[in-house]
Amino acid sequence: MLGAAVPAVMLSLVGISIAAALLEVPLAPTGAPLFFGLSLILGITVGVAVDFWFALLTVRLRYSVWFVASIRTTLTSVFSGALIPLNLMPWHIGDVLGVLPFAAMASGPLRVYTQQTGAAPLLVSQALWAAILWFGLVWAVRKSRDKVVGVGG
Amino acid sequence: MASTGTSLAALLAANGRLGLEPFLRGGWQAIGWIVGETLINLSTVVGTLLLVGRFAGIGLWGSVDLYFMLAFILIAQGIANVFSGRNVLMISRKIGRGQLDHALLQPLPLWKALAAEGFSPFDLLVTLIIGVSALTWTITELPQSHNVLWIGALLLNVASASAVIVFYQYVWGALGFWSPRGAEEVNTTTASISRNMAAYPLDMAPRVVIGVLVTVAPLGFIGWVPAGSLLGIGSGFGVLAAPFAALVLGIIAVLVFRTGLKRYERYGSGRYSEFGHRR
Repeated sequence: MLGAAVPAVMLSLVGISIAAALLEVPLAPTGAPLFFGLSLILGITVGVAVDFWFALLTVRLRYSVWFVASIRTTLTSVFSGALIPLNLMPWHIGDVLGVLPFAAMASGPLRVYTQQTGAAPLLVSQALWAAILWFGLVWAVRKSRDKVVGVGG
Repeated sequence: MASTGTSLAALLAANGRLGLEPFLRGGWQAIGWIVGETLINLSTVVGTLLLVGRFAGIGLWGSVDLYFMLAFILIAQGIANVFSGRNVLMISRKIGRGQLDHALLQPLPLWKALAAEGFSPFDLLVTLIIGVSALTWTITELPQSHNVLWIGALLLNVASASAVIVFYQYVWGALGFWSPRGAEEVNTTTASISRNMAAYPLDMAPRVVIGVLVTVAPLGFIGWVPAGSLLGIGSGFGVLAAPFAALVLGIIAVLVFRTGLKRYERYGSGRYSEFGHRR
């Protein structure tokens, strides 16, 4: 999984760096790099858990893999703040999305990277979501084991 | 088996009934399908929608103008979905996986077989309903009055924008005749960018970017050019620009597809090994 993701991430980094240089957008972090690293790891941990939850949805509800994958991409890109940062969203949507687990995937690391203060509550929130999602996932997978075997690959 | 004389209407009706299948499953299956399709299709415009909500306009475009463009795009995509479902829009998959044979085996012209197969009036209708509702509302909110000619131009441009979506997919998808795996990847990307990048007004974009988005990747003709021309904003292309672009792109798509089809008739799908494994 990691092997397939690395080239895509590297290419994205190159693209973003070139765009940032052309548009004169500073990429240097404002927050502490150590906290950002930790936040990024927690964000990935939550993201992988969310992926597994959607995979489980495929099995439980018998939807097609591609249909669920499209829904997952749509929801996570909007709800996580990856498409539009949550604090730029209108009608207090960002406030609501900020407390959902999706925010721990993109908005959390982004805010830790760009804010000088306030990293601690964000990291705690990410860690809590990671724990809730993974413990819940282990329980849900145990409950769904027969269906996973039945549906197959 | 359908005879060669089977009317297109009868074939469309038969395939249309197949589109009821997600709803006939009932329960969570039906609800999930409706909710999922709505989310996926609304994601096309959600980025711009959120920006409009926050900033009440982008450049020359006021909020109602932008809502008009977003509704216009939803209708164009809705029409493309309704007439090109079941991978008919993602034609590279059919070509690359040898599924084009299913259409070629039928005693029908290829265009008729694909048109009938892709018709999904029920299962892919959600986008169209949302788009028509939103467009009707925005038209009543626009300050200028609209005559029959304007409505005609609107319908022509919506049809043209849908055609641009389909032809753009076919130009790149037809490369599957030569490179099955590669074209499938490219076609996925072209579908993604025509979904996600068409919903932005391009007036403030650099000339190079605009140049690319009205030629190589003609996403400008899906929303920005036709909507701006109808509202009298920005681009200066005129209301016949999108129909003309659709015509040119259609000619290119037919030429590329026909050339590829000749190759396919000779070599078939090269993606399967001798014992049927897909490479």
